[in-house]
Amino acid sequence: MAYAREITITTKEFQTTLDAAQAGAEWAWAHLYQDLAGTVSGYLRSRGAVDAEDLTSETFLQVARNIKSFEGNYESFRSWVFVIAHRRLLDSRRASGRQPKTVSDDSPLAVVADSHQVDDEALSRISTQKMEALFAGLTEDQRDVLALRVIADLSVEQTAQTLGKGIGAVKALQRRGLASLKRSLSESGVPL
Amino acid sequence: MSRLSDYQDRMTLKQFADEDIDQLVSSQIANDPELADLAAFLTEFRIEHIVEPPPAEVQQLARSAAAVVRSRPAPVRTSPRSQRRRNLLTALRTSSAMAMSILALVVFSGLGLAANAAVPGDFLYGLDLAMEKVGIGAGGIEERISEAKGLADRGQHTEAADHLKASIAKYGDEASAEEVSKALHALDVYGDFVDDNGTPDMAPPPANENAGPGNNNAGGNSDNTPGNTAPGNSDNTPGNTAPGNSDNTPGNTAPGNSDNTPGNNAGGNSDNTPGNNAGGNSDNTPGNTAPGNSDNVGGGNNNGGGGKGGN
Repeated sequence: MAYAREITITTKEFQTTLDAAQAGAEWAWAHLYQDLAGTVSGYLRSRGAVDAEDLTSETFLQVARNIKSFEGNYESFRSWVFVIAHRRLLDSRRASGRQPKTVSDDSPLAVVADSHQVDDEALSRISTQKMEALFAGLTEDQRDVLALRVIADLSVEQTAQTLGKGIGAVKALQRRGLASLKRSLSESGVPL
Repeated sequence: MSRLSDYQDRMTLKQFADEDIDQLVSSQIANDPELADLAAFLTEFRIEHIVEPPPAEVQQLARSAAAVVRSRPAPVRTSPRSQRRRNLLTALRTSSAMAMSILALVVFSGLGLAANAAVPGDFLYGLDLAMEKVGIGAGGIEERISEAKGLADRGQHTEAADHLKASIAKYGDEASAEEVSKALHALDVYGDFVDDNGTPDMAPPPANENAGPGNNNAGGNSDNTPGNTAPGNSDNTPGNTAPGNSDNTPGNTAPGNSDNTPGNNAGGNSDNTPGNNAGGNSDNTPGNTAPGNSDNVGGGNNNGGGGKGGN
């Protein structure tokens, strides 16, 4: 199934919402949170955050603290929110002393194969576990880029800004991450 | 990840255009059938992770966020005008720092020394004043007097006197009588007519070396002793009344004088001491009342009542 993110807030609506949010209107914050909380928590969860919901709330409260100085359009706002979310994720990792998952000898393909043996019904549709296993086979930087591009739906430029990397580096990481995923999918023989 | 798999990954998507890759990632739509499996994976990956928040969570966060906003002070926004002013100040500070650097370079080079010895009218005099403003070099009335002396040494007596007057006017009351005395002594042309207290010495100037009273009455004389009345004289002792005199001692009344001592009444005078009443005066001391004066000196002027000597 092809999925394209629907723009839920038009430019005019966003400006009205932003003005109200900067004035402290609850309805405006409800609107912004409903629009972005799903992708923010999804990004944090895909990057291994254990407390993704808490980090999402902290992200939006940080946005609220700085909203009065924000100027820009909807895309700028989304990009800004994910910059804060990414920093919250890094802070959380530092605080817990936990390093993100790295590529280990336990190949994600082995996990996928094991899953096959346990649950034949999953052959018709890749399970969350298999998906995570395949995604975990990527490098840390590749996962950062693909999570922001696919889940957060940021552009290459916005992704580069969020991660503090160059556009060329983001494109290279994106291409090689996808290539790695494609190879893993082919080798695992998992039907999608 | 092995080197082989790394190489394979690099080669796997090399055949696909950047546009295809971008569309695959951003919209999970595969233009090329070979990317269909990846498109399906990314779609599932996205659906799996994005979970809409429950309404209760939305309302709770909205209340908290709104309360945070209301508790925060309004940011200090920078208006375009104040931003421009700040930019201008920054530019000025930058240019000032650059100017100071250049000045420091100049000071510690021979150019700085040369500038310090400059007198008004010299190419480097402006640099000398700039150095004084930042505390380099003596400056003050003493240096101005020194500069006037330098001008006098070059024979530029008028410029020397003007410079001295302007300097004393600038330094105002701080220019004491003693300093004025020093200044006048520095100018050799006045030296013999000012005593040590700065008081003009009213004694007549010494007679010219080769001239005695009654001599040289012919027109066109340029060196005259008292009593000479020939026209065209340019330096006259007291008693001369010939027209065309340009330097007259007290008592001269000839028209066309350009430097007159007290008592002169000639028209066309350009430098008059007290008592002159001539029209057309351009520099007058107290007591001058002639029309056309453009510079009327008040009390404390340095146009002494003594006549000039030492032609």
